[in-house]
Parts: sequence; C-alpha cells; structure tokens
Amino acid sequence: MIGAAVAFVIVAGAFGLWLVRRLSQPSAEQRQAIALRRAETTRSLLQQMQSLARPALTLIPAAQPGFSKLGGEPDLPEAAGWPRVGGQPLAFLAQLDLEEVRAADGPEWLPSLGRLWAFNDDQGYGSAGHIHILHAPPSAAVDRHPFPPDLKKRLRFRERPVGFRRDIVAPSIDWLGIDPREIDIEGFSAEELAAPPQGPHRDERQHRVGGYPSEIQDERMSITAELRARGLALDGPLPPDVEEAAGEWRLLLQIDSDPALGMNFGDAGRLYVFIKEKHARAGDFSKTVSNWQTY
Amino acid sequence: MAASGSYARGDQPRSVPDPDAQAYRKMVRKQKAINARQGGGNDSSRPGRVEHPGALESMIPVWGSGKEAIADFQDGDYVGAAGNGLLAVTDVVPAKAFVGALAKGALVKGAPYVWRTKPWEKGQGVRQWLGERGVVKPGQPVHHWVIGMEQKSPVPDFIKNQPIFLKPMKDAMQHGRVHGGYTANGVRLPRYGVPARIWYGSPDWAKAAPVSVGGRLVPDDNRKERSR
Repeated sequence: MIGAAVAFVIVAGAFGLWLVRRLSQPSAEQRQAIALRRAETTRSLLQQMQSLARPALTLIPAAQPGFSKLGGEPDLPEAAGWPRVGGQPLAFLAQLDLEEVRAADGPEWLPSLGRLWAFNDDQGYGSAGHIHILHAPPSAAVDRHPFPPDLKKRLRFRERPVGFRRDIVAPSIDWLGIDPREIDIEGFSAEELAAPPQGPHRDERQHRVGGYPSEIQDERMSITAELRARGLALDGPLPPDVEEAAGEWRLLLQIDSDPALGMNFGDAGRLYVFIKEKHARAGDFSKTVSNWQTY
Repeated sequence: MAASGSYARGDQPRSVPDPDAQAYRKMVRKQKAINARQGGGNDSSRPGRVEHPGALESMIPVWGSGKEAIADFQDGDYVGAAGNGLLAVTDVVPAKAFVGALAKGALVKGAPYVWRTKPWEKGQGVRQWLGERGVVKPGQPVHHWVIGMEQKSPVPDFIKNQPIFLKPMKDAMQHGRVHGGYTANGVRLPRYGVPARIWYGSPDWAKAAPVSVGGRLVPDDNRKERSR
C-alpha cells in the first residue's frame, strides 16, 4: 500500500512538472516576437561593436629587444625601491616604454613619452589597487633591480622582451552590458557577421595595451572600475551616475597567464588595469583600478 | 593419574567463550520483538507491506534506499530506516543533476566546448550556454572544479569546459578565495583551507555522490540474514 502511494506521488509529481513546463512555454506568436526582438538586439549589438572598436596593441615576442618586456627583473629608476605591501615584495609583471607604444600606433590617449612598470599583489585580488603602476619620465635614469631575496620563487617570472602588434578590438557583450540570452545570430548573413572587427577576443593567451578587455567571467568591468574607484561595494545599489562615468574607463593593460613565463593568476586567470582617459592624457597613473578574473 | 579435560571437572562441560553469543542473543531478542509486533510469524504477504529490495534493486538511486528505509521502518529498525532515508536523500541531488543534465541535452547532444565565442560566431561558448539554461545568472562566476584550465595536462579544453566540470559560484569573493587571498571591503581575507575549497568549489551532486555510493558499498548484514 505504501509502495503504491509512493509510486503514485512520484508519477503525479512528474506529470505536474511536465504540465507546468508545457503550459509555461510561449505560444507560436510569442516565439515569433521573441525571435524578432533578438534579431533586432543582435543587429544593434553588431553595429555598436563596430562603432566602438578601438586599436589595441598585443604584446608579442620582440624582434628587436628594447625597454618593453614581460617578467624578468625590472629596470626601475635608480632611487625607486621594489614595491611592497605589508612588507612583502610584489611580483613584477611588465615594463613598457610609452614611446615604443605610440610608435606602434597604440592608443592615442596614452602619453607619447615616459615609462610604466606594473607590479602585482597576488593577495590583494578584489581591491582596486592590487596592481601597482609606477610611472617615470623618459629622462629618469634606470638600472636593473634584482629580485629581492624574500620574493617567492613562483612570483619570479621569466623574461620576454616584447614588441607590439596592432589590432582592432571590439567591446565584448559584457562590456556593453548585453544579456547574451538576447542574442541570436541565426538569420544573419555571412557579410553582416563579418562586419565587426576580428581582433583577438577568444581564449588565446593575450597580453594587451589599450582596446577592450577579454573577459573570462561575466562582469561589466567598466562598472566595477567605477565602483572600486569610489570605494563602493560591487553588490550594492548602483548610483545613477555610475553608468555614464563608467564610459570614461580605458583598458591600460591586460596581462594573461602565460606558462612560458611562469605566470599563472588563479587558474589561468587574467589581470586588468584600467585608467580614465583624462588621467592617462594627463600622465597621472596614480589613479588606476585593477581587476582579476580567473576560470 | 589425574584425569584431564571435562573429567577433571566432574564431567562438567568446559566453559568456552563464544564471541558470537551476545550478538546472537541480541538478534534473537530483536526478531522476537519484531514477531510480537507483527502478531507472530512472517507476514510478508500482508497487503501494503513494502519488502526489502533485492541486491540489484537496492542499487537503484532513491528507489532502492527509499524502499529499504520503509522496510526497515516496518521492521522496527529505526536506525536502519534513518540511515537508508538519509541515503535516499543524498541520492536525490546527484540523481536530479543527472536527470537535469539529460533533460538539458548536456549528455545527449554534447555541450559546447569553447569557453566564450564572439557574438558573431556560429555556436555558443559554454558560458553563454549555461546562462541561457538558467544554470548561471548574469554576473555569476563559474569555477572549473575538476580540471583547471592552467594545468599542463593532455586533457583538451572541450573536456574541461563540459558543464559537468563547472561549478557556479556565489560571487567573485567566494571564487577568489578558492584560488587565493581576496580583499573585500578593504579586508584581506586568506585563501580558504582545503575543506572549504572542496566544499565551496565542488557542485552539490559531487559532494553527495560519495555518500550515496559509499552507503551502497557497506555490507548489509541484515539483508544477508534475511536471505538465510
């Protein structure tokens, strides 16, 4: 008797679930309206991506080694000490000569002269400043700073002198705040789909200056940057002016996990540094905001 | 010459410790109690009574454990009923995930293998695929819980990116602390310890599965006794 009752409850429950799903499915007219809406959203998205695409420099192995490089020991201004947080030395990520960046047709909002260094605090993910950006004028004399003895071995990355390849990179749907469920490319012609720029925007290892970030997770990083710059919680209510202010953020640097260099941020994660265009133009690199995403 | 053995004790039998005696007496007492409650004799043919499942039947998730729990309850074995009831509950999570995956076509049609694709590319990245099916909400991080993407293993990405190997995380902080230290509201939080990493970094069905499978591997002495 109990067995029969249990079986009846299971069957009735399964039937109920099936009925609810069946009744909650949209009608033919509703499905058509959804398809039309998605097609329109997709068309608008493709146009938006095309119009907002920006030049970006992908950091590639240098043919002629210069100042710019990933990993190794930094060439810092003579008086500069190795950056530390809480007494712990940070991991040196990269150094860039802005003259080389501009010569490679990099972002026009970056100063044409000066040098940048990036150091990462791998215990500070989640904070606005876990990547420290140092800036010095081109006249500053530099010398090679050896790894501090107390820098962990896993934070001593191998060196790769880099050159730059110019790409055109479109913003992702995350950057634009588009719900991926609202996109449907079925019905678009190959010509229409080929219109957006085809810069590297996939799973490949990417070190980048300018353009837009290649996100791993689903996050509007321009909004995150604005909230972090204001010291606001990410899960709190969004102040009304944040959306507009978020449009001023530019990707200064993206550093990818790179096994050849011994770089691994979380699980093949990426590091991102953002700066407001007005600050970059003014050569003020003290107001950057960092982010980190991983698989 | 003095006699040896029982003759030395006046033909009284030797007192030999019987290690099974206590367990035997306990079993007999239990069976007598069961018989008394059931009105004597084996009434397994009584209408409405749920029988203990057979060896194969007991391996069926939810059904086997649930039936065993009901049968134990009828026998007055409340501890067994509770244990098997718990086993049935732990069966539900992996069974639900498995049925859900089947219903969503994850195992039938094959899941997408690229993590992300451009919106103008045919085919979906698995991130979008999960979002469309409501497995992850917009903005929710997803963790590769079995095979990390950084590992230098011969496992290709289309395996690593299968939905079964992915765990939606509560938020960026929880995901961050599975991988390392994380700073939230200016407070530096350390990386989770190994138990917390396993707990937060694995799906519910994976946590329940060892209990569900392990429970079946434990020998069921009661079933052996019943089959005698």
